[in-house]
Amino acid sequence: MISSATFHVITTELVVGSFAMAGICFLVLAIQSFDLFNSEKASLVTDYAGHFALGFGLLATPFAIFSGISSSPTSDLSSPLLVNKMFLSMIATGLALAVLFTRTKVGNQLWDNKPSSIIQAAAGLAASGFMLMTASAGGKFSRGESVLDFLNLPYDTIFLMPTWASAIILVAGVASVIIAVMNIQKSSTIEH
Amino acid sequence: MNRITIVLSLVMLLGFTSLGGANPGGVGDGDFDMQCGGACHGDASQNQTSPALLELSLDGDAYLGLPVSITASVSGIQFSSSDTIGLFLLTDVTGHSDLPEDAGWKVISDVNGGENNYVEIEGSSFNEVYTNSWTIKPTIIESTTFYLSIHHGGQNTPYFAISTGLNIDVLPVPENLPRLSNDYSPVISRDLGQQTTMPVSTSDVDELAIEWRLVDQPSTSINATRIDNNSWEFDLPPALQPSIIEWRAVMNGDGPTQVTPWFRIAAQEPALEVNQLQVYLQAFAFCIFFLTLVLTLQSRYLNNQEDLTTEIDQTKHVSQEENLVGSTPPLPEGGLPDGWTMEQWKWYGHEYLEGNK
Repeated sequence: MISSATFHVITTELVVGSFAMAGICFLVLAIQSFDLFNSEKASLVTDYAGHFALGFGLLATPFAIFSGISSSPTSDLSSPLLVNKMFLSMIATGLALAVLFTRTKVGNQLWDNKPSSIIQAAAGLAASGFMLMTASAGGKFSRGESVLDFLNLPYDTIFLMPTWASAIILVAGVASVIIAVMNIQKSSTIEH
Repeated sequence: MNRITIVLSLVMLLGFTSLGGANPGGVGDGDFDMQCGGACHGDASQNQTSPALLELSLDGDAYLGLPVSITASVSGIQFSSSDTIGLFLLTDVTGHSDLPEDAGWKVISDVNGGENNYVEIEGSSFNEVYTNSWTIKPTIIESTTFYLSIHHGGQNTPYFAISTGLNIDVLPVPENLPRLSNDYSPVISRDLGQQTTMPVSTSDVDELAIEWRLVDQPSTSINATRIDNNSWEFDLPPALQPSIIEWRAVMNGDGPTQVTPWFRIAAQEPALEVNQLQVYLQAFAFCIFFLTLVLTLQSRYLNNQEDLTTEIDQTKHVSQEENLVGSTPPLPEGGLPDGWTMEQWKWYGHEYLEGNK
């Protein structure tokens, strides 16, 4: 058996590596979306590589989250930093899920629509950014320093909403997701 | 395909067994039996004998109900900076029921500021000889043999060793001996920045002086304030960062002067008190919120694109006309009516047929 701390290191390396790769690809796609650079080959490669890396990172994310919680000193969220890590990783998970779902349903035609391609690239970049911030918080927790120290991120402060507010967001969010998914599915079945 | 999956799964499982020899990162302090139920070293049968020289010694006499220090000495091994070593204080070598508690002893404090028989220490803190002490208290008058055991790694191999036994006889408390109360348990942890007033309960003590120090630093003496006959208290300064303060009491009375073992109090970040359910719920709410945000924006712009496409796309009308054109009505029995050309029949033949029905 390996300890949960060791397992956490393995899974976080997978997650961070994949999201970093995806981040680079979505950066190239974002540049192309703004017509600052145009290459059909680069577009094709970054589209496939970015979404694949994001998907792989997303698969490893639950393992990283659960092993991280169990390897914390009291096996729960005992520090503001750990709470912020949880929030950041779940935000990244939500963004990544949305990016992958849209790409799967709409396909390559997504990049023919400028607003959609900008949203897709921006959401992919944001997912990578939030996941890298999560990793940075982990470094701060275990070693007391991180590469993003120069940003002075307020890891020791928690933005905690009342439970009822979270519940409302959750319910409203689920309803909105269902509507949005149906709309996307409808538009994806239109033959252009 | 299934065979390949099975073989790959087996190879992967076998690959994990090499990681199962030991836990390089340790398992954290705790109350563990000698083999710690497989927790510290994955499989006891894989253990190699450690070259470490282990020795236990008792600092003074052990009186019933009074704390006493037992010091462990470790030497003869080299560690790299990333090694973690585990030290056990045991009362048996059978591998079970070997905690000090099982032999009627209570661990009051350990080197890391806890109250565990198993402690982990980073290898980087090791010198040629390393000493580490536990403060323990006998609760029954009985002889006990203590052992020191070590678990550590090196070159992907788990190492294990155990010391020879140290026999300790518990003595009854002499008449008028200045001492701590039998039921006294010192505070062993506090929050950062917290001024700490430490209570001390004693018996047969007329004067109480306190010595305190940071670990491996010179000590400072202060007088404890008497609350009543057997109760005293003294103040410890607040700690600004995680650290351990050691303190001991010098007790004077009718009997011979007594000095307690060094007690440890660890200052640590105050634990976050937060409703876990609230945090998890909010984390999922964030996840769903951002998922919704992106999907809603995407569905909006994709639908706009669809409307635009519908507006521009006139092929429906074209195809209707083409259908009309394509469906030339059948010629009547006598052939093309007089004066009609085929082109006219193609376009207006329907009306002619309707009129002659």
